Amino acid sequence: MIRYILIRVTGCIITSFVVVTIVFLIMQYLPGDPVHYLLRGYESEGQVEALRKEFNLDKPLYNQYYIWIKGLLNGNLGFSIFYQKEISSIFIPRFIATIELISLSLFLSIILGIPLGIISAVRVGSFEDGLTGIISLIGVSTPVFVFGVILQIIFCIYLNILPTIGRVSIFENIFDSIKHLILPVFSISLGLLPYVIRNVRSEMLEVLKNDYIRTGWAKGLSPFKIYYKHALRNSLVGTIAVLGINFGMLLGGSVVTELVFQWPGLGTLFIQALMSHDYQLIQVLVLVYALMFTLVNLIVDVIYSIIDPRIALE
Amino acid sequence: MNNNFLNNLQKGFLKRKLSLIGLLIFSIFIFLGIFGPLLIPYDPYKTEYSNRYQLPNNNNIFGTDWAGRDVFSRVLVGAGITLKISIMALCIGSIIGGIIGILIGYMKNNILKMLVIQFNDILLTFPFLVLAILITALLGSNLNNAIIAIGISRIPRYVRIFCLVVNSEKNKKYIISATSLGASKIRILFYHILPNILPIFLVNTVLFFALTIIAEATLSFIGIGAQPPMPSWGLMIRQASENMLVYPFGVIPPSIAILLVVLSANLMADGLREFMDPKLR
Repeated sequence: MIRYILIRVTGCIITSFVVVTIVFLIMQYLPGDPVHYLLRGYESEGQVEALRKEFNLDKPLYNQYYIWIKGLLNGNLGFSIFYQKEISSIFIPRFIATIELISLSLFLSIILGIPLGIISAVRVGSFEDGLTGIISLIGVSTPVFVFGVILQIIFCIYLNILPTIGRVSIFENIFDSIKHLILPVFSISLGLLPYVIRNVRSEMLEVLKNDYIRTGWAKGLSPFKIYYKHALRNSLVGTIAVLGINFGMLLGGSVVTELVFQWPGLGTLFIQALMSHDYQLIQVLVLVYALMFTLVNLIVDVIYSIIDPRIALE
Repeated sequence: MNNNFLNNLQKGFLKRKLSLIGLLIFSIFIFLGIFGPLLIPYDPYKTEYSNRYQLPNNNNIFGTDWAGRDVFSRVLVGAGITLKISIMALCIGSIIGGIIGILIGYMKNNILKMLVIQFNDILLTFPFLVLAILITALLGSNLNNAIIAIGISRIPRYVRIFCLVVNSEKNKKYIISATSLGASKIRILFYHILPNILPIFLVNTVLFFALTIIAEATLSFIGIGAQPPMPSWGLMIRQASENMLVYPFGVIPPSIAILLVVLSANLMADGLREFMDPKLR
């Protein structure tokens, strides 16, 4: 077990290293020169040279790569041309805002998805099952930003009870902060929820056919205990894997949702950086998204092996 | 195999009403995508500011937008754009990704194969939408680049799926017996393996079609896909959402158009999956 986790962690470190290298290489061979975007056509020969020197662009490739890796290991993420600041100083508050959004959405889709999935598995073919099925089909078929825009129209324009855009830190005003969170969290969860429901439902249908469930009924356990204790635990294995795979979708969805609600997180920063050709910032953000995905999949694998020790043995 | 295929198709796909509805909506979409420009009542690009923000009425079935353009005509022309985008992105993503995946999966186990698979797994750690946004913005914000970006971003997933499928298929007994009968490698690939993975290819292509439409709408919504005044559905939602205080209805027609087309693809994929895997029935 510990050996399995060690192997996975080592694999993850190697993966991260390769990801860092790929991101570096992509950014090297891009069309366009960041110095030209910075000077916006007012450049003189001397200025270009000076800036190239300042951003280490005049050095050979392996030297730039060495500087990039060394910087990352020291927590020095580079310099944002657009913001004229060290990236680490803008990065942290943005990162917290995005984590807040993503973790709450994940939490909400699990909390809603598991009971809905169980209900539709237990009453297969019933009205509730059909309704959940239709809702999850619509959820899968709608882009996340459409949810965002429609929720804004309903709750901000017609009912006028929630703020349209922005974020308030939870330390400033808890009530206001929650009000700002509701709509973005809901629109991201609506995109993820169908996958949770569908998976819990199909896993549950398989598990309920098992002998030990029949034994449970025979010895007179309550339905609640059978569904939520005995059957749920076994059907969660597959659901956790699905969450790991769909975490990438959640990250993608968060970028657009942040844009719709003007949430000051990594997504809005990413799009701003792309619009202003801020290469160093783009490099860092792509890296962060890839690493978050890798890390979540590592966590999923470890949880997986704890729930089902057979996986670690293979 | 062919008979079996049709038989399964009938049992699993055609008997399910939902899949049939999906097929119906999808056919209508294809029809409108091709013949839409001939059916439109007004010029989708003609602005008429005196006639803007009209709710649906007899002249404009879906109303008019912020520039007084007829939304119905724009949605119809948008269907053509969406169709074109999805076919092109599918060609890039599924054909390149599928071929690489099948070849890698069919290769003998050696270090090269392992390295390619490992590298591909690493590429999969970049979230699809983040990758698509990145590639589009870097190539330059327009529709063609968005199509290329969506196609490229989907390649690693295809490579992975087909590598796994072909790998498990080639160790099955019927392939081993074909080999022992002296069938050549090329014959085995084309006559035995490809027909058997066709259903999986179909399901993935249909699902990817749905994903492409969502991705294109998202890129256009962000502002790096289709550029105004093109009537792309994602761009229409963006422009309507900018005017949502004055005319919130504008968001509805393009959203429903996207919903219906993606829904039809998902319904068809469900039906196809069910006919592939009889256990689900």
